[in-house]
Amino acid sequence: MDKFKELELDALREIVNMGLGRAAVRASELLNTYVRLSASALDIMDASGLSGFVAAHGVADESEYSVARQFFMGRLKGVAMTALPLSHGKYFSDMFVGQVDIAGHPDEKLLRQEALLEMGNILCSACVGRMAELIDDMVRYAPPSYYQCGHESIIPEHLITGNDMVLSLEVAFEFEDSVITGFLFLMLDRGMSPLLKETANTFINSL
Amino acid sequence: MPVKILIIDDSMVARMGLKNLLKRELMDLKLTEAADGPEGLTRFAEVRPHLTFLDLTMPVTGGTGDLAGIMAGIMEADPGAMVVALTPDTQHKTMEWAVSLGAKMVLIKPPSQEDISKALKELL
Repeated sequence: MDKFKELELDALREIVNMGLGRAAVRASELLNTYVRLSASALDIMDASGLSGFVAAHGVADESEYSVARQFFMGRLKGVAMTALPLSHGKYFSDMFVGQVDIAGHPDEKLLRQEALLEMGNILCSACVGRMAELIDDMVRYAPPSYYQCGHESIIPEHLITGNDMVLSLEVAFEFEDSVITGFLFLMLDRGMSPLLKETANTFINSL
Repeated sequence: MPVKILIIDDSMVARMGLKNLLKRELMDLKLTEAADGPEGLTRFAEVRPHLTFLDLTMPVTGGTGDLAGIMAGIMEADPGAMVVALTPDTQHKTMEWAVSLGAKMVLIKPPSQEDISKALKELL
């Protein structure tokens, strides 16, 4: 994999933060509560390095994650996974559930999952969308899907080709009285390194 | 006498972009940079800038210091400090939050040349 320069990684984090800035508006609407979003760490690694990233940035004693997965297709093509520690995911979907008043409803579990899927969709489209704009790309998104897993299985094995790179982000959700952290992973073929570099350098040159 | 400006932003790229915009506006300029909140407070005390640009998206985890604390530190050092907050978040509440912390102006990232020109005209 082509190594990314520090400035390129920094540019990608700024691009993602700009996407998250826009996403915060939609996230606040979804949850009916004010939230700020930011990416506090970004790295690009092989899929095998993901576990280490999660361990380094994850919540202590948290081993189970709620994951929203979504494929995206354009010149930029890959799969996005929004992963929240199970306990944080519950806090998060509690707000959604509270808002739509379905606590105790027979479909409550499904609706909680829907809340996480919708948040994953918001994050994925905001971040990938911002990158795509910079390189005049148009990206389409498949409907997201939900699953729960251990941190070592956030990327399902059957999706790993051995020729992947993962843009890994720690995302902070800042509410008025608390902060919860999760992850956004964008897995792409290594052949897209030049495209990510193009995105980063287009941004740098625009400043 | 040069205009002293402090930029507090953990992104090298963002600091670079802002420096370019400022250099186009001011001939006699002394720029200082800080990559996190605690360094920003140290530089603020050393330099006593005329204007400070502060990024609101610096990590809240990982030990770079909470933003409210940074703003409080700046205001304590100089109650009349001119601080421009920078954020990509367009929510009205985020703007209100930044102003409540003491920012005199909030700009959306990345700021345009026009944004910077307006900030300098209004705050210097």
